[in-house]
Amino acid sequence: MKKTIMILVFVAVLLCSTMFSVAASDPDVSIVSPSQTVSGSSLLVSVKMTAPKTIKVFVYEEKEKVGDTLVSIDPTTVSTENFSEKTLFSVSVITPETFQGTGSLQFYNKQINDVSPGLYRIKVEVHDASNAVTATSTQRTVVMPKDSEVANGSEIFQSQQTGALQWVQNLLKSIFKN
Amino acid sequence: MGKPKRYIEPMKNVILVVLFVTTMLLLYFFWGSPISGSFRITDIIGEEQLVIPSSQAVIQPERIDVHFGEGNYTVLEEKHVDAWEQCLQLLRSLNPEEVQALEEITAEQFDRIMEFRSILYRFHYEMPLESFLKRFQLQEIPGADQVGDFSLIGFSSGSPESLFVYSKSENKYFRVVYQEPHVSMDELLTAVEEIPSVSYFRIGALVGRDDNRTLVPLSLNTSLDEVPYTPEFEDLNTGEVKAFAQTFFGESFDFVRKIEESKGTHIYMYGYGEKVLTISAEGRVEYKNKETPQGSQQNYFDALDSALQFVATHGGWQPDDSMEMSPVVQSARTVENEKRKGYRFIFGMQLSEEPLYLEGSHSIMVEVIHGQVTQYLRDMIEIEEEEFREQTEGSERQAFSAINMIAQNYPYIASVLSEKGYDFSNLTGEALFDVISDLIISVTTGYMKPEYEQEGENALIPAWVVMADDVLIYFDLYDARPLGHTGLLES
Repeated sequence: MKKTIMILVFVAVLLCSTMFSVAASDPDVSIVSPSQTVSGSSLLVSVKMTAPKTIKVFVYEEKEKVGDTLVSIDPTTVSTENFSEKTLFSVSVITPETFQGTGSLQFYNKQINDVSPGLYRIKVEVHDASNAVTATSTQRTVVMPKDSEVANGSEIFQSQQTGALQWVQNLLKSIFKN
Repeated sequence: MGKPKRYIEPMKNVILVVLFVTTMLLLYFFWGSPISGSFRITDIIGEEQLVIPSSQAVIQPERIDVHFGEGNYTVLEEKHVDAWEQCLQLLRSLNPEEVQALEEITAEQFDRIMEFRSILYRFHYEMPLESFLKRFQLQEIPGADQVGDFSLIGFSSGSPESLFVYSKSENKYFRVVYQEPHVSMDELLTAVEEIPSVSYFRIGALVGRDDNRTLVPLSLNTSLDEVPYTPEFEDLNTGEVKAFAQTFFGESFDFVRKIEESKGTHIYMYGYGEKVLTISAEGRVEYKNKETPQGSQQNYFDALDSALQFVATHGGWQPDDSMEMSPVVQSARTVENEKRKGYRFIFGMQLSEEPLYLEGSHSIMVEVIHGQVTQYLRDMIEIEEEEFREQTEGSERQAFSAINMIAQNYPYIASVLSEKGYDFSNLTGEALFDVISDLIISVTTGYMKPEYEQEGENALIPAWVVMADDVLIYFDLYDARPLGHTGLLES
């Protein structure tokens, strides 16, 4: 009897885990953009489908409650804070869009402009013919403020020769080229 | 009584001279076999003024990419901002004495500096930098001979005092460093940011592979629609076609045989085939001159001038009864025949800024060796301006997604490239897609003229134009079905 119960429990666990993985994600659908961190004021959402599927795409900003108002999460604190202990509120950024892919390879793309720094969540539901959700994929991304250009641009050529030295080298080359 | 005899001999001489002159005139008249169609008022009052586009007018960047930073791009349209003229103005104003360095940089450094707000002027062909600066009357760049040929000019706000140049044939990047920042380029970038523009992204950003840098629009609305056209030479038995042939062989067609084939092709052959002009029933012209070129070797721009002049005198740059089309150099490469070097230029036409492509053909191709045109292809069409306006000024429609056009058709692109020698036999699915998308150099829109038309249904089709390794591959702009392809190296 005990052995039978153990087998039943084992089978139940296997079935449950299979059902859970199907509901969790679809191997034919993957979120390729955005990455975990982006900087700037726009967000590119790109979903790859390697089989004919119907998907529904949601984009939320994850906010926290301070007093009675929902405020954006400071992106610089995302790496240090433990959000699993906090209650986050998902605010929809776009009207959810349904996309039907008919080929063996296709992409869903959308650009979201005027995005403020914060924490965002992209959710992709896979629907079957009866419009039931068969799988879900999610991706969290941190939107950082736009990089400062002046600080980085000059560093790229620092390993190059100094201008004067290069000028002398060019001059010598042009004199002795023939 | 001796007086009459004295006048007889001079009279005979006069009569002989008159007879000789009359004979010559009659010979000229009958040998030349003038017909009413060849009588032209311009023969009396002088030739009409030839319209020859300048080399500056036909050399335009294939595309101008603007990076707003953070992976957001647009591709400039001339109707919005005269970006190429602004670039030329800047290059005219630069002081050569302020050049601090001309140095080679790595591809990685180039890519990193272009991550900042930047603008790239891209050509699909190469030009010698020194000659380009001289021809466009721009300020010289000390050390420009190091660069040799170039196909790209760029500016970046990450290094505002620099000018960037890329040599495709050498696969080398260069940076020209000036003392002062190029303020006008920053102003141009700011101006572009303020106008509404189509968002472009790298293919890599859309498909999840960072290394693919070719830009495609995310979403494109356009009013391009099918445009009816007629071939330039629809009926080959007209005075117009004969006058065109006379521009090659002279009005009298001395030593020229004319052959009319059963399929309707007309062939004019001079001597033993030294010069052959073939005009197909569809109006496609091919001229070959096998005579040994007598001139000396020309540089890029002199050869281009020869080509522009030749086309102007052999058919002209504008079909007579058509809306205005602007010629631009679409491809230029060096050629060699019996140790004589020259250039082959392919000219494309632009219809109101939208490029025209011909399946399996080119609007105009000219090969110049030592100043002599050795080969000339002409496949021109006529479009009524009113019809063009009616067809293209309607409401906008959404074009098929550019990235999904590639995703849907990568096996077709692979089959076209396989004909050019590529081997994709061990690749399938996503692996093949990755390789194909890496080979794509540009994705643009334009009008495509199909190679084979059904009678009475001549129409240009709005198309996505994918360029991959010197091959242009066309897809319907609205449903992405494959339409055909053209090799830029074919003639």
